[in-house]
Order: sequence, then structure tokens, then C-alpha cells
Amino acid sequence: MRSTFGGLETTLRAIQAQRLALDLTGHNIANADTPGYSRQVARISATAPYCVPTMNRNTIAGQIGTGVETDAIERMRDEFLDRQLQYENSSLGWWTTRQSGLEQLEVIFQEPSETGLGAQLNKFWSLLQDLSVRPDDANVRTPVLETAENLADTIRHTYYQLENFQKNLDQEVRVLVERINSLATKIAQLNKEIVQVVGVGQNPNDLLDERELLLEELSELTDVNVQINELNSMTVSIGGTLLVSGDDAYHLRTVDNATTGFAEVVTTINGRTVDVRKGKLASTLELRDVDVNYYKDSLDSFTRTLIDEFNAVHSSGYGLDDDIARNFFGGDSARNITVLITNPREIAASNVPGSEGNGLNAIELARIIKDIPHATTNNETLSSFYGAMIAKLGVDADKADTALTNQTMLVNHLFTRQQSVAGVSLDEEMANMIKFQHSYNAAARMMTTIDETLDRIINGMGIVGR
Amino acid sequence: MRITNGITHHRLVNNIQRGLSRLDTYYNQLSTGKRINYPSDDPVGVAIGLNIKEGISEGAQYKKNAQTAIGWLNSADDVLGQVTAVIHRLQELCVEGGNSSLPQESMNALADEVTQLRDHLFQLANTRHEKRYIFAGQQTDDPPFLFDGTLAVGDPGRFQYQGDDQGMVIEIGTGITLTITHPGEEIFGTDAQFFHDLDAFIEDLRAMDHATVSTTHLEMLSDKLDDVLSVRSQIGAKVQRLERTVERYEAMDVNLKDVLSKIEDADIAEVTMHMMMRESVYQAALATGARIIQNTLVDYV
Repeated sequence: MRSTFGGLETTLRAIQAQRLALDLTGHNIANADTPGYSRQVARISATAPYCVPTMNRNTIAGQIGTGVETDAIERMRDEFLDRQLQYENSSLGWWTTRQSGLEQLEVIFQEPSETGLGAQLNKFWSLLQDLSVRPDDANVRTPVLETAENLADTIRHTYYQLENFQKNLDQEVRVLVERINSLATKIAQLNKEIVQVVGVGQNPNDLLDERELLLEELSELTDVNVQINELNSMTVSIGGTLLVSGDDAYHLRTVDNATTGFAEVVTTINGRTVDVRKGKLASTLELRDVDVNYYKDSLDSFTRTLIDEFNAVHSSGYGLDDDIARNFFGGDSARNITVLITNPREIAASNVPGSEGNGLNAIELARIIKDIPHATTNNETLSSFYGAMIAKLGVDADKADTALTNQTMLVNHLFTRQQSVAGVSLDEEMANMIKFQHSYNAAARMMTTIDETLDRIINGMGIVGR
Repeated sequence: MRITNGITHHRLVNNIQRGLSRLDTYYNQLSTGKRINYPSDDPVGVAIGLNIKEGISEGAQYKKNAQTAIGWLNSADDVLGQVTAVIHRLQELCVEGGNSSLPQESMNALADEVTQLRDHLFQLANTRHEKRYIFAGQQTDDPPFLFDGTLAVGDPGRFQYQGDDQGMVIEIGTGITLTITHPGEEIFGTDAQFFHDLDAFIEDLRAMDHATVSTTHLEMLSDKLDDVLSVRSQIGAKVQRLERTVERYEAMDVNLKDVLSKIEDADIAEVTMHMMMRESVYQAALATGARIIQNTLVDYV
């Protein structure tokens, strides 16, 4: 036999379930714009019906339902998309850093322009030609020296900017390692809280969202390998090096390289170098150790060839006033190239002593720049060596631009797909809100009806003739 | 696919951003007038552009060198033209002096004119162009011919050549050089022999040596005329060659600049068209944004 108040209980359950669903709708709406938030839904089901078949069961018609209950609060999330997004995010981080790094290199070289190294080299060549035509004219000699000074300044300045850029990249590596460590600590802390909630059989939805968001940020910085166990604890590793396991974070550390002084990324577990392949950290390391070095080395080869070849020809020629052999450029690298000649009359334009009208050596000097291939500049002339260097920078930067555009589109697409599953649709929430509100109202009306029937039994019956 | 407000918003922001970034590309091209502003804009174009610019600057420089050379050659030719005229006059005087019926006074008058002409030739031999002595070989700072009137006729120190036997050399193309001056001794003889010969001519006129005047000196003058004409014909040939060189560089310059412009410069009409198209797309994105952002069921329930 069912209890007199069984109906009240059934209706109460309905009211509670609808209230909870309404509260969830409120939570979803409140977090519609929260980054990383996944919408939550209540899984509801009908409670166990009355009565269960036993030897001494009731003889009434059965089974009869006993109402509704909320089994769980679930978060809508596609785990597979999460991992895909995290993977592609690492590539996005790589190309973002690479594109902006190469863009900075383009700015350093200032090509094509009227002020870049290429234009200065052209101007220097032209003035040497002028000198060969008018070797006895002081008005031509002075500009040759001025342009040579400018050329040397530009080389030194460009090299200084490259070194500075490299130092900034090194600083960036250290900052990125700090951020990775901070994210690892937070993920480990969340692991601890999540395991506690899962342990008592509940769903730590908001904590999971928060951890996924941290992982998304981490994957932009480095490639990560993620494993999640049955207690929903996340193990994170970078290229075989453990970063987070359970509630422990194994931090990374930077060690200064003995020769370069640049930061190497090692793990605090055993001091071994961490093999980062993607993400901003790997890209910054590659820019610092490969790309910037390439342009530094190229500029250095260019400069050393210029100094050596120029001095060899210059010291075999003669200035206006004496037959002393002089070097034209001082220094031995792009870092310290200077112009040694200060008196324009000492420029060795002639290949015969005491011949002020002889410009043959000036022709030879000009040839060093545009006509003669040098072994130290890949068997190319100085000007085509420089041109090839700029072309390579262009190709690299162009490739990075294209790759970044494509990668951004890919990540956007994945993000959209993930949002399609996890995102809050206000329209949907509104519709749900109305649905839950009506259900709530109907349950309340049901309770009123039961109240009225009970009122009839309690207050309206057994009082005949009173 | 399930579309949420987040997706719509995300896409809208992305599309607006992309539209703006494309617009920016065209704005940049229009405002600089250049299609290529960074090497990455067109790496191949940049490499070709650098080569072409090198070609243009080389062409301009070689053209400048050639024009300077033409200036010098013309001024030398101008001087040698005057020298030729003087030698013609000397030849006339020589023929006159050969006439054995001429009295002493007439011969003295002839000798005086030859002296004047000799001094004029001496001046021509020390001609300067752009502050440099054009007949001094490579010793362009000092006058090539010296005259010491205190020494007796026939003394080698009376007329001296102190230039050298080198010409000035300029480059008019990669590895192509041209000697553009003629040392004075090529024209006026080793150790200024011509002036010594003129001295002897003057002496013989005053000495009434009609026979020597009409044979030795007439021969000497016609030989000298040959020398001068030979140098002038060389100069003429060089000027012609240089003028052709200049023309070639001028034609090359126009062609190269044309190619460079095609590679580097933005086609204003085309870019403007693209920009207008992108602008309308961008504005459509903005307009759509204004409509879709505000409308949800919230507005109606």
C-alpha cells in the first residue's frame, strides 16, 4: 500500500530537480563568457518505481513511479578535441613566435630601402668609381671616407642590434620557463583538488575547466604530452621529461651555457636538458641559437671579407703624398669594423707611387664589392652574398607568415568545434529556463492539488451531521 | 553543428580582424607606393629587385664615367685642333722661308711669328681641364712642359717634359677599361723635342738657311702634323665608342627601371580596386556584427 503522503514526496522531488536545473541554467548564463568554461547539464532520471517484486509484495497495480532525481551534474566537453587543440596550439605558439622574430630581423636589416646596408654598399662602390675617374680631386676623396665610415657604422649597428635581439630572446627563454613552472604548480594543485572531489563520487566540473584552460596556455608555450588516470589526475610531460604528476610539479630550470652564457632549459629532476620541440619556448630557442646566429655569422663573413680583401688591395696601392702601405679598414669582425684612414689624401687610389692622376687601384677596390667572387663569401661577390642573405630572410619570414595564417585558421576551426560542444548558447539556456520554470510551476501546482485532496480527507471527512 | 553565442562572437572578431589586416596591407601599399615593403612580401621579387638596382646603379656610374671621359677627350681634341691650325700656319711660314729671294728683314719677321706660335703651342701643351693638366700623363697636378728661357738654344734643359708616359684609365663597364688621356710626349715628342725643333727652325730662319728651312723643317712639320692627326683620330674613335656606351647605358637604365617598377611598385589602380573590395567586405562584417551581437532570446522572453 502506498503512503498517504507519497504524492507529496514525488512532487517535492520534482520541485527539487527543477530548482537544481534552474540553478544550473543560472550558472551557465553567468559563465557564458568565462574563458574555458564548459556548459553543465543535470542528468535526471526517474527514481526507482514502487514496488519491487518480492514474495510479500503489495497486491496493488504496479509498478508506480516515485518521481524524479538528479543523478549527476555533467560538463559538456569533447576530450578528443581538447587533445587535438592542445597539440595544434603548440604549433601555433611556435609559428607566432617565429613570425614575430623574423619580422624583427626584417626591421633590423631595413631592406629594401635607401638607407639599408645594400644601398650603402652601392653608394660606396659608386664613390670608389668616382675616385678612379678623379683620383686627384679632394672633393671626391672626402665623400669616399665619409661613406666608408657610414658603411662601417651601419655594419656595427646592425650587428649590435642582432646581438641585442639575441639577448632579448635569451631573456624571453627565462621568462617562458618561469611561466611554465607557474602553470605546472597550478595544474598540480588542481590535480589534488580534483582527485578529492572524484574520490567522493562527484564531478569537479569547474575545476576541470580551469585545469584545461591552464593546459591550453601551457601547450602554447611548449609541446606537452598528457595522460589522465581514472581519478582524473593529469600527468604532464615535455618530450619525455615529467612536468606534473599527481599533486607534484617538477619544475624546469635554466642553466647558463659555459661558452655562450645563454640559458639552457633543464629539469630539476636530474638536471638533464629538456627536449622541447614545439611551442613558444622551442621557437624562441631556435631563433636564438639558429636564426640569429646565421645572420650574425653571415654578416661577420661579409665584413671580414670586406676588411681583408680591401686592406690587401689598399695596402698595395699608393696615396697622394707618400708610398707607405696602409690598411683601409680596422678591426676583424662586424662587431669592431672601423675606418683607419683619416686623411683623404691617404686613400690609395693609384697603383704607382706619386701618380696623382692614376686611379687604377681605386678600380680594383671597387671590383672587390661587385665583380670579384670571394671564397669566404660562398664564392659570391660581396653584394650578391648580401643580396642572397636578404632573400633567405624574405623566404623564411614569408614561410612563417603563411604557416601562421594557416595554423591560426586551423586552431580557430578546432576552437569553434570545441565551442560547438562546450559553449553556452544563450538561446538554448533561455529555452531551458522557460522549460524548467514551467516544470517547476507544474510541480508546485501538483503539490497544491495533493494538498487540497489531503485537506478533504483530514478536514472534510467524518464530520457528517456536525 | 551547434552554434553558440561564443562561436558567433569569436568568428565575428576573427573576420573583422582578418578584414582589417588585409585592408592594412593595401593601405600600406598605397601609402608607400611600393608592393614590396619587407623581404617577406615577395622574397623572389626582393632578390631580383636587388640585382636590378645593382644593375641600375652600375649603369648610372659607368655612364657618368663615360660622360666625364667624353668631356676630357673633347677638350683634348679641341686643344689638338688648335695645335693643328698652328702647325698649318707654321707650314705656310716654312714654305715662305724657303724662298731664297727673301731679304733678312722678312726672314726676321717670319722668325718672330714662329716664336709667337711656339709660345702659343707651349701654352696649349700645358692646357688644364677641370684643374688638371691633360697632357701630363698621370702627373696631373704639375705642368708637363717646362721652359727655361735663360738657357741657350739646343740645351736639353731649355724645354723639358716632366709628365709620364701613362694615360689616365677609367672603367666604362665591368672589367672594361679605357685610356682617355694622351701623354704630352706622344704629341710634342720625347723630351719636348718639337719645341727644340721649333727653336732650330727659328735659328735657321734668322740665319737665312733657306735650304734647311724648306727641307728638314718642312718635313719635321709634316711629320708632326701626322702625329697630331693620328692622336686626333684615336680620340675621335674613343669619343664615338663612349657615346655609344652612354646611349647603351641610357637604354638599359630605362629598361631596368621599367622592370624594377613592375616588381617593386604597387599598381595603384589594381591596389585601389582590391582595397575598395576589401573595404566593402570589412564594412559588411562590421554591419553584420552590429546586428548579430545584440540579438538573443533574452531580448524576447
